[in-house]
Amino acid sequence: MSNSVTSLHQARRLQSHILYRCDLQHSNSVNIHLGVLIEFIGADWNVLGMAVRTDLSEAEIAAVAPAWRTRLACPFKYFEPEIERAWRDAESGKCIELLASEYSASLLIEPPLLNEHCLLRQPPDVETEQAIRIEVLELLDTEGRRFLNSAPALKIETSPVKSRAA
Amino acid sequence: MVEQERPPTNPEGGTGGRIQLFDADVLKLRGTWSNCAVALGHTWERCAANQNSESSPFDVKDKDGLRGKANPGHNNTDVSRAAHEKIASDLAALLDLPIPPVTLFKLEGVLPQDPRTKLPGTPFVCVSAWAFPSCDEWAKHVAVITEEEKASTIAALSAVWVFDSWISADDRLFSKHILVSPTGKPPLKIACIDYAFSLSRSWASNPRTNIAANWEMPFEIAKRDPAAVLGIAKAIVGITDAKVGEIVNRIGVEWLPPARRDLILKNLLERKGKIAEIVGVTIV
Repeated sequence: MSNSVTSLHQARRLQSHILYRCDLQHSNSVNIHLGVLIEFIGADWNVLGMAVRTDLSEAEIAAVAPAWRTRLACPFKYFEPEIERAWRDAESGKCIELLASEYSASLLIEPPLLNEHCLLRQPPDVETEQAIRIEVLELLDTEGRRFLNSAPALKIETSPVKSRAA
Repeated sequence: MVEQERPPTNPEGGTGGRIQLFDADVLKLRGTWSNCAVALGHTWERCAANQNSESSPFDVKDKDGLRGKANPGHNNTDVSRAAHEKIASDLAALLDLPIPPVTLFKLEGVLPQDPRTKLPGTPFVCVSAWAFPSCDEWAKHVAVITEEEKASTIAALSAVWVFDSWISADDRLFSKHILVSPTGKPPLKIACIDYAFSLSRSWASNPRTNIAANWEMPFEIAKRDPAAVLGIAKAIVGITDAKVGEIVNRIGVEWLPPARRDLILKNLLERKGKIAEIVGVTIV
């Protein structure tokens, strides 16, 4: 007999933005929005996801310092290994904090903001891991499009759901 | 007021590398900030959460849109981080070194929790100016910095090594503590940051008599630039005791307790006279 009850998983959510600040010295200068990072920390699991742009406009590329132009032509390609490294190296729940401590100048990963009380749904007949990933992907899509103002091409990925019991 | 004699930024006989390449706006800011403890005309407000690193720094801006980095974001009083940043920056300004301007500031209003201690931070912070419109840690650009760009920094890094030896800034990890603004062509603009763990932090438990700074270089340097080393050593000796005293003594007790202030002053003056010996040069 299949389970017909939707379960709820309580978790903490850390969320951060990825930006390129075209002029560090002046707060009224242009910031190029590159992506969103979300990390969920559940009772015995955590997951990291990113929604990052796959290209920049010509005007944006021109506004980026020469040393970054090639690498930020596809921000997703640049950040994917960085985020994988953080997922591998950081303690549970500390991935975004690690990245934020490393990217704090022109290329900025903002210190994450914490939402202590989030509920993730697990519909009937869906495995826990799959349900969590679906929720995270939906949230990344919403938050990514909000932060990136809908228009740019965006790629969304999550890590596997890591069980801390393992 | 008597101006301190400054060393040449391009010491004769050296590698030809410029020591300090800040823009005119930053030099103007340095000219103002380095002559007082708390620079007037700036009301800083927080514009981001604390970073989760040792000093929990955070971004600030003033009413004119000038952006800076404030620290500490926590209230640990074990180290006088803000005072150390300020004293190092002001002394470096006398020597025209690539260390950004710093001012002290008292934050108003409710202070947010520091992510590490889960307690509100101190209102008594320092604010460091950004040296360049665009820059990042050396480590972020290590793959794109050319050999010519690296070579162009040897004079500056040699000069900063002498300065760091004077103030015992020897915990430094330069892949992280040098900001660079590469263009693919020399000279490479650099700014050395993070002096929180120098001065009384170094001297409280160990006077480090006659020990030069022992920090990790961002790349292998076969030989330091002798002209830059000698030029800065001479310039340090040439700074008057009164000027050192003025820079240290004007820091308020909220940022620097008297016992640490006295320790800093004593060691700066003693090490100033011994700097040639400490870095292994002869001043004639």
